[in-house]
Amino acid sequence: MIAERYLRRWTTAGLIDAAAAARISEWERAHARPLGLWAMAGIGAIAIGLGVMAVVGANWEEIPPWLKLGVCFVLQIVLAGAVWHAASRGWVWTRELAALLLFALVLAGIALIGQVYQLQSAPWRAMVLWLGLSTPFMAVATRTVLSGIVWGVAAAVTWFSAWDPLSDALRTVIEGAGPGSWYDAWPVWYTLTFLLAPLMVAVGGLRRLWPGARGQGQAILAVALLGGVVAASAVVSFDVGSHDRFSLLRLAAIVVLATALAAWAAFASSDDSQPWRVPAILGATTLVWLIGMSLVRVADLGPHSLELTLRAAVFVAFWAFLAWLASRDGRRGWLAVCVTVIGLRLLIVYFEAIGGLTATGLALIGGGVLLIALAAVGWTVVRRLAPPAPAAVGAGS
Amino acid sequence: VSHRLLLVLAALLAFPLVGLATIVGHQEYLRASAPVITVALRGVDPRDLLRGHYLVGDLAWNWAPDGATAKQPAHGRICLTQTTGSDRLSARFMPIVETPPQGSCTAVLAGWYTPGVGGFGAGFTPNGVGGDYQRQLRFYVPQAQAQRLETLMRERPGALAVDLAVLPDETAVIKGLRVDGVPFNR
Repeated sequence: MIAERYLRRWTTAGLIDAAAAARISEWERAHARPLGLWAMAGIGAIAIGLGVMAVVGANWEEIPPWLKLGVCFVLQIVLAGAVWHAASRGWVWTRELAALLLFALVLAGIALIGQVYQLQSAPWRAMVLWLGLSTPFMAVATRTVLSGIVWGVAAAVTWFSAWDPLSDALRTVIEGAGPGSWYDAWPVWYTLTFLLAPLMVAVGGLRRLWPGARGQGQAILAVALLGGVVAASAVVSFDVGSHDRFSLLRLAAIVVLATALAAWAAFASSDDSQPWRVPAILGATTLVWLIGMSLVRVADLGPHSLELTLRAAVFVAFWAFLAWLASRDGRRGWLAVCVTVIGLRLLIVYFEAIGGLTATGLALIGGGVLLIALAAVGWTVVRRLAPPAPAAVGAGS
Repeated sequence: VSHRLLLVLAALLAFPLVGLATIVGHQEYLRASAPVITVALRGVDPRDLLRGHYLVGDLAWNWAPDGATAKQPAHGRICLTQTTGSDRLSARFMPIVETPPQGSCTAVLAGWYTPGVGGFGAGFTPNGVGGDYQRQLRFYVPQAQAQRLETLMRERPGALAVDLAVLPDETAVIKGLRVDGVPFNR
């Protein structure tokens, strides 16, 4: 067992004595769960579920529409009752599971109605209807991070499924004209992808205001912030150019407005000692996005090497800022991620600049040395952020 | 958990149920009350990825001689009129800026017009049919019969038709499929 191996390791290192190791080992044995049997039971349950679905699917045409709709409504009523009952009894995971199942069943119900009545509309309309009907009960019934992330993913999928109408709306706002004023897909793609981040940060921030769902809001906010960081990094990384001369100022105004709203929501709902942290990351992310979009807009910025250097410098500076924030907060894991990302980006710089076999070899050697040096620096910094040694804790207590 | 919060939760849990039940009721009402027209189906290309589950087609309107002269795709309306000596409604397209003549149309539908190309005649997809951007009619059919219906649509033009319920807001919903004039029964 892994635990036994660690116990031997810690006993040898003198961290715990043999008696403590024996007690831990005994406790683990007493609380061990038959994972193999659990897995077998789980596989059995999944097989039953898939079997029922297959039998229903095979006979789908034979089931009259009224029966399909009736069963769907009965299941919804049962699940809604289960959510309510679990909430009244304080059964957290029963409530969350029933709410998630009901959430999924509402979407299935919409799809079923569409099939029965031959309703013809774009998928995003069904998704919006789904979120509109389900979000109120999800907001009140669920508290866990899992439910929050599932809802957030559903919202993101809905956002991207509404790509065509959102693109049309964006073009209309930017150009002040009808849909199709400019057709370049990259600026639209970059803007709509990025806009989702501040919108979801705002949702997460507002969600944090409800004490019972604070952790859920925090999780939505964190994932949204991470999405924004990735989206901004992508914009400044790829040299896609642009064929149309879109209005960067109007585009920037929309994004800055959304960022300001999200920053306010995050700041107002924060209860930690550094309420400026999320707004600062959001601001830096938006700045990087703006620089990336400016480079997309100008399309041809003098020598190619100048643009490559500028893109790399902005990227590295952005991630260095994130690394500084992580080290300031003592977040070792995030600091290591930031250092790794910077190292990989610098390695890409070497590859971007290569030409010929000799240069390739030199670039690989230089990139390797750089990565090792960065890893050494990162290791030193991460070690400095290590939590106090047990002796120090013992001395202080 | 407070009693008040549980009451709110009960109302919110009932919300999707009531919402979906309203949609079902609305669709039943529309199908029971709206006038119905029958329009022939014709095949389209490319076929749908979900081929075998959905019959993908286009509406083959019976255009009046001067009914489909517009050369550009456009939003607009079609005025459907009954012509003597024919059991099919005759269609005439009008750009969106034109108002259909009062009383002279049996039915009016708003939608998207596409001019004919080569041997493929002009098309018109009423709002409410064909989705926002797909502009193709998709009819859910049993998988076992999909191939027969598709072959029929391709090889015997006019054999397949759809019943469209014409709603007061000039949109349409598909009410049913007909094969050789007989309602298609799953």
